[in-house]
Amino acid sequence: MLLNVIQTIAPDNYVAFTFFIGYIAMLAASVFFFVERNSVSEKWKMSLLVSGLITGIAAVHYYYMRDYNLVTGDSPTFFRYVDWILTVPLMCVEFYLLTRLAGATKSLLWKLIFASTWMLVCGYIGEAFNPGGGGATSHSVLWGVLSTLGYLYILHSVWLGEVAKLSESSGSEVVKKGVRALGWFVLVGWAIYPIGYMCMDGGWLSGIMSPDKIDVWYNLADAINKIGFGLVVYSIAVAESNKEIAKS
Amino acid sequence: MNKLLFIYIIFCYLLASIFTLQNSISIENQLIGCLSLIILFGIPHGAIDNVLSLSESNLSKKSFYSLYLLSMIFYAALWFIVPLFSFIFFLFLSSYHFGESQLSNYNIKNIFSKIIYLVWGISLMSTLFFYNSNELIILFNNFNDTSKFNIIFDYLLLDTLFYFSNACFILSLIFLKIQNYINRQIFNSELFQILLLHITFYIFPVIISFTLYFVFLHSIKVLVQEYSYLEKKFNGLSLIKFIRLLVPFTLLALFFFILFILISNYYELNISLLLFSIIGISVITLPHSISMTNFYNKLNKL
Repeated sequence: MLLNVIQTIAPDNYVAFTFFIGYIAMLAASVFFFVERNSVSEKWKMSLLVSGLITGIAAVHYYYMRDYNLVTGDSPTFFRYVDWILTVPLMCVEFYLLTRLAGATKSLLWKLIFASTWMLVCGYIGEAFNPGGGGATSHSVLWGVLSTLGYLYILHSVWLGEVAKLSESSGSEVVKKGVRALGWFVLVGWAIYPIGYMCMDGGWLSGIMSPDKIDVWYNLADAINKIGFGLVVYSIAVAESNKEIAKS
Repeated sequence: MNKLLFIYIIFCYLLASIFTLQNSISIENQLIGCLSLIILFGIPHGAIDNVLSLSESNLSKKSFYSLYLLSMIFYAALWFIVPLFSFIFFLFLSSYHFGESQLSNYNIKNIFSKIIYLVWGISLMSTLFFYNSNELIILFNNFNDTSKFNIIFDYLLLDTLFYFSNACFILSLIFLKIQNYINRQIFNSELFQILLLHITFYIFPVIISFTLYFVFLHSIKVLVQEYSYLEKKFNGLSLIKFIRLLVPFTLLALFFFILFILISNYYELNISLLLFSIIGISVITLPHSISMTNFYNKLNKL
């Protein structure tokens, strides 16, 4: 059955192609993070576990999404949000784990988790349920604005707020650079999601990018953001672990 | 990313939401919103040229005001003799001024710094014109005295300037990074900012695009620099006192602008509001740019 489905994929079906690539890449990244967990010091193991979980959860969802897309030809909005609602808060956990040594409190962790969940729940309500029908925009704009508040809170925290200040006071150049690199993922990499939101039917940017093509961008962005995020955390963990070994 | 860029991003999202909701914003509402922001922040950023120029300077008040006014009169006269040249000169002058304000705080001490300022400014202006040329052609064609400036918005010229200046700016940035004039953080930040400006200029109408840049990334940035300089100079200058410094010349500029609108309502004038605004802004920009160059020299010595 699976082979039959694979054989019917058109060579120019980039959506299906990127779903496959995304699935395999996320799976490979998970294996890498789980295996490499043993090569870092004790206090960085949790960070690599979270990195592996992020790509692992995404891999499972990509497996479902590629099938869903192949069978129905539709955008798997539901699975996408389930994936994001599990993985994005975990990405926020990474910020807490990185700055924990500089004094990050549990309250920061919960604030980031709340903001990311808020962002995604509001985004899902705005995208999946539209009482006015496909072309109506007031519902999606309202929930889009509410969702953006969550995104802006995380962006502010990482670049100018609590996370940025904690990384500055960490005393570690590696952590500072790492948090800044993750900040770029939030600023540039995550920007594709609100842009995609504005590209849905009736959206302001639907003329610039058709809703059919947005899945390709989501898939590429997801792969870069999740695997890239994990790799930055991995490089910090390795560098800091090496420092500890050199000291002892 | 700094605070101003963060506010800029918030405004972009806000505007994108309004556009999604209404599909478009009428030109009247665009003008009301943009003019309000320009009056609040744009005009004040040039309203203390006198204070900045006279601090740490041997220039007397009389000489400063004479030179300032003379340069304005000279430029205004030039507009009536060679308008097209004056317009092109204005674009280059603004480009240099914007580039200097954008990059001066990195204190790039090499012989190419001034060329890099100009290149940054030209890439900014050509990007704005490139994405909005149709809108600009329609706007300039509305009036007899501005339609001749449409030669600037020629597709071939704009295309060349757009690609050439943007490529030159990116190469300059790489050069500055390789030569260690700027660090990686600044390199990334500048690259991101130019990318953000491209997106903004592409998706928003020309008036909104320019106002977003001019208010948030230029005027407020300069106001912050001016305040921190004066705070150091006049130990403990409060924000209220700083705002008081900004008020007189801001009101004077507004007074002349409103006066012109009133006069143009009652009398048949041979000049359109658009051309008058361009001339008005350009004659102020000339002495303001010179004052700001001196100011940045002082700032970098601190």
